[in-house]
Amino acid sequence: MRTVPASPFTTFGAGSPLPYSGEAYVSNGCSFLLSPPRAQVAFTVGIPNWGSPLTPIAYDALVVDTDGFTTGTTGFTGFAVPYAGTYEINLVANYNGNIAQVIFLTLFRLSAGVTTTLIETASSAADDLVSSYYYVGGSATCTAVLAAGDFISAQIAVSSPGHTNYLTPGADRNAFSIRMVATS
Amino acid sequence: MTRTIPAVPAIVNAGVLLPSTTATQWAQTINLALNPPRCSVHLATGPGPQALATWFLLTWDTDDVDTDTIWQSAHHSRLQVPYAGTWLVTFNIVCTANSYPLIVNVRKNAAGSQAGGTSVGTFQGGTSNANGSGFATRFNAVLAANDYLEWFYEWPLGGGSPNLVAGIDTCFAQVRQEATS
Repeated sequence: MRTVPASPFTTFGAGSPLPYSGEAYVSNGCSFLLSPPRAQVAFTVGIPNWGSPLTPIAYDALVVDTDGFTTGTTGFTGFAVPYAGTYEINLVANYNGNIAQVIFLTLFRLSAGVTTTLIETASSAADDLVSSYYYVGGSATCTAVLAAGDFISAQIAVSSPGHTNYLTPGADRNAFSIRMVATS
Repeated sequence: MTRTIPAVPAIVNAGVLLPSTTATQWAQTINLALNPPRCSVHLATGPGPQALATWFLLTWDTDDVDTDTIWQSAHHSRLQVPYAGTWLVTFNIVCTANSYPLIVNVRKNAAGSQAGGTSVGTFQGGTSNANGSGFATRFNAVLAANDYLEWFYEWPLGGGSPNLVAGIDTCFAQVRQEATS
């Protein structure tokens, strides 16, 4: 865990050495700027028989985790937010089926383990086909003001799923990421 | 709120005390990183079923985050940036289940008219059938101080009476300053 500066520092003493608080602020601020708290997970193995309704995803690959957003080494179901502030959250999903029409991406905030708050819904769609294999995909992004300890998870649903359908494998096709963008 | 958005400070040689101007610039630069100018608004109440092949102005009715008075009280359709620079623009639109493809046109300084100002982004999402439409997207816009953005939307074809799905989780727009030039 690092120290994320909580209050703006207004000015330094002109022509004098930085006070310790100023040094810490500059150091922590630069750390935040150069390496913001962030995490990303993905899955490398396709998930078959994905359809409706909205269902949480357990990702199998950790791409980056700077500040303990995740626990364990696999089965990542979301991110535990280590610091209060504003976060940018991004979800990328792709699907391969034969009659799928719309893919829905949803991000949930789970506070205190019991409260579920929908913070974003997005959908992506293309022409509906009935006679050939069909790919749909999309991404959803939002920023959310979160408290330390909030848990963010992703859920996906596909309307009209066909047989032999699955969420396609690869970190470039299905990924979930979070990045801190402000301290309030 | 008006703050000072700093120019990039000069590199300071090791062992040299910071002059006050440079020190202030460093502090302001870090402040910009930790607390960037940003705004998030959403549509809490839907406009009701709407006509096809007609451009509508999206009028936001709720302000969720606004660090620098970006949402304009006199013009609720507008997000006006107080500082010049590069801004990240994010928005999310979800339409009712009976809707056909939706087009969203984001325009700069349009004064409420889809024919006015300058288009800075056009996006389309939806199926060729009435399966619902909508999308989430983001892009960067280089804006001058006091430029403002407005969102226009249209269902160019289809049937029925499509509508937007109001809600903080379904229909929202966000801007955040990412660079000072």
